Amino acid sequence: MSAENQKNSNKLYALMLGLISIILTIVPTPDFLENFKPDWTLLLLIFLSINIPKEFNVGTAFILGILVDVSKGTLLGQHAFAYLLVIFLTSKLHLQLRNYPLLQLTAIICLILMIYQFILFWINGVSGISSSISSYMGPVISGTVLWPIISKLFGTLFLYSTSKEKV
Amino acid sequence: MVVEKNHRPRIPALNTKFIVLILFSFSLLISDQKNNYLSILRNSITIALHPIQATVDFPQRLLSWMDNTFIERNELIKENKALQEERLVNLQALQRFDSLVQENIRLREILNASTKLNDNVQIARIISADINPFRHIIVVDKGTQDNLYNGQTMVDTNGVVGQILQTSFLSSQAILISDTDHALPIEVNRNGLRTIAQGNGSYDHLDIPYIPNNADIRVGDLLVTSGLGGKFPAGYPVALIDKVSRNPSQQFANVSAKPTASLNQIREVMLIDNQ
Repeated sequence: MSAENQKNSNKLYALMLGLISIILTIVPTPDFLENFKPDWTLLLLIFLSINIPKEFNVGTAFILGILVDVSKGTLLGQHAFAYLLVIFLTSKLHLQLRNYPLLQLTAIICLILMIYQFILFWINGVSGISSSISSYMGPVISGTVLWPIISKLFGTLFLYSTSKEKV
Repeated sequence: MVVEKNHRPRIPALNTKFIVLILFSFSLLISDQKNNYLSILRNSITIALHPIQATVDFPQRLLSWMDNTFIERNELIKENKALQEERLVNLQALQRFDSLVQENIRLREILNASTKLNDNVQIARIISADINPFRHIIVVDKGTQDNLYNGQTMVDTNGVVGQILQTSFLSSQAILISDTDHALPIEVNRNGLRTIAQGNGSYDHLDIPYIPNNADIRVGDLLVTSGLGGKFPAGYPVALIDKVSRNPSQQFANVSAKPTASLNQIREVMLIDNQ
């Protein structure tokens, strides 16, 4: 497959998954699961920025962030801001991150998700919106648990060459 | 091992893009928090996202459609009969209502007060609720297209539900009276004692602060909107007092009330146009 085709199919998949992730974000869940709803959009963005950083980096993060803000009804720019910081970090470090074994990468994803939730917590705090601590910890736990599955799944979907093969 | 320069996956202009976007989103954040400049932007994005919201809503709509389509004939007949009976009772009540309206208008004329009695009502469906468990914000399926406006009162069949927070073309965000950021002016129906009802993040309790210890308020009192804030029309039921505890060492009594509308179970809301 030519590089151009590959790029296009990646873009198509990214667009589709981005829409699905927003749908999953706003779909109502049972009460006991509400706090454990992972941030699907962020997980997608982290995957893309580690594996296909040339096409998907901070720009994608900003656009999806604004869409999530509007569909969730949060402050405009809140998720965009948090996504930007996290995705900047992961795309800067993508060469290291993509070479880590899955378990180690998952641990780092957990840390990244914590940083992300802290940014949300901080913005909410500054604008005077209170929430329980479990609503911040839940997505970290579920996101970490889901990461290995998600990254394997996306790995089969997207076409990219890992640096391991290349070097 | 030699890595060729053009093989290294360098990301073009990452730092510049990051700095520009982060400043942009920061300024968005600040201007969205402080004032309402961004409502146009938010509205247009909401319109673009409407198909997604409709997709999310689809299973629910399909279920209710199937519910209506595959209902049994017997049930329909039974329901029809029950509705007929209810209609008769309502008609009988309405006869009295007409004369009461006349009497009320006459009395109001005597009092020199003018309040619109017939409010214009639209029915809207809730298309998404949720989000943060501490912010009680819902999205309804009517917008500026249907002449909704910010601050419009939202009630259900039992009482006040909330008000419209942000309209956009096809849908609107609304805040429930139970949101921690919401308060509405009310009065005790029995004796006209004026106060406010504040949401506290729980669907079945409102806080009634600033009630003096010696105030005449009891468990079971009905609270209705007083119409004083100018946003809510007067006279709609809001909540029933369910707890009054007076502690002489405290300045105010500890009063809480249960909303008459079941805030977390509604599917349709009525929007009252009192502009």
